[in-house]
Amino acid sequence: MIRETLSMTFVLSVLTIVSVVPADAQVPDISGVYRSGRANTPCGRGANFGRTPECLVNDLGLEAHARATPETDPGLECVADGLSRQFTRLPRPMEIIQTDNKIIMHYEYFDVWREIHLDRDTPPPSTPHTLTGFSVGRWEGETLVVETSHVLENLHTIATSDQMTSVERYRWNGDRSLLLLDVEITDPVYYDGPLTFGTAEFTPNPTDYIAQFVCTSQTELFYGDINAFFDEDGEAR
Amino acid sequence: MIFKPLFAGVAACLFVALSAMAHHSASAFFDLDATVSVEGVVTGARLINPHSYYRVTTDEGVDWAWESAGTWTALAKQGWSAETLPIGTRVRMSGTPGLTDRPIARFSTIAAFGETTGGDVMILVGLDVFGTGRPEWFQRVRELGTPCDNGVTECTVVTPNDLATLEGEFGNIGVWSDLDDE
Repeated sequence: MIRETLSMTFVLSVLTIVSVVPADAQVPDISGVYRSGRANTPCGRGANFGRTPECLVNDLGLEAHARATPETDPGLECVADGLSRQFTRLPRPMEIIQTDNKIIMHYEYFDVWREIHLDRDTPPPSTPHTLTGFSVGRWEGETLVVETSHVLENLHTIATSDQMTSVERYRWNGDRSLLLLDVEITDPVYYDGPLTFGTAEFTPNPTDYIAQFVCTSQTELFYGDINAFFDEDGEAR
Repeated sequence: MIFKPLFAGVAACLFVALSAMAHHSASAFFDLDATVSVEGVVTGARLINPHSYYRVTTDEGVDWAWESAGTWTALAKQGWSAETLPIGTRVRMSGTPGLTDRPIARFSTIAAFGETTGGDVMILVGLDVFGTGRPEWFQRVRELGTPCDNGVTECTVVTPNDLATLEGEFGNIGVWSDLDDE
């Protein structure tokens, strides 16, 4: 209930901002609902995760990856993805809300909201580490450049420490049919060099919308006894 | 019933077809290179995110947990609801098995039949989360059958005669045909 209330408050705040501050006509309009793009990791997935010329993961990074077991997947307990994993997720609905001083990215999966601050160059003092960190952005010509820091450690898909930083570059392709995203991650703790991901393609999907995402813990369903979740009539307990 | 000609000898129908376990699976939870088909009755449903579950109880009394690929929200956007597969519906679940030793799997296709479907067979295809496209037979199912009237976009109703045609054209693939012959 608290989470729903906070989400609604946040939505109303965003809508208020949007209504008061129209998008700057001098920069590209990237607002809208998309089928998100999936950036290919340079490190391989699952058992194929390892050090390559494109993925200079070190021993600490490999050790962190080894801690990413199915049982520790935060999604089982409705905890959203860490930022590095978010980049590599399968395509799902997401929306970009664009104003003069902020870009809001709202991902349907786990109801993740990201604020990209266009009116700051650096995070404020004592910024806490969070799943998606603190992001500042700027327009370089027709490209939105997003720099993110203060991200919590993520173990799954592509392990990153709490010292990781990322640079995202969003731009339209030639006929504006796809929004392209290039991502580079730098993590001095788990990697000996930057990681460059494959370009992700976000497909505009104006007929879709972002639905409320209410999540229920899956750990017991997956690893426990499914019968514990139903009464004798088959109704959910 | 309608499945009898195709499912002769499978009255106690539980057959699990597993290919060699792949150790480079794209998922940490399911063996995406293997397939499993199970027949039974829907005895419970948890229509929740991030994944929904149907409990399907086989004639031998084994309770399977069948997980949806993708989210329940995504399925609901394609018309799925609590009425799509009511408790008591006899189903053939097909998909990929879990990597644990428990009766859990992720469905890609559901064939519903029996009293709930009035003698015809309702074939539902789950979300194409990996963008690999629909199974090759699905277009043929649509050509032969009629769209379901339950609002689910990826759902087709076929007759027993249609099933015989599909069996002849595509062979035994578990979704609609004899599990013993897989």
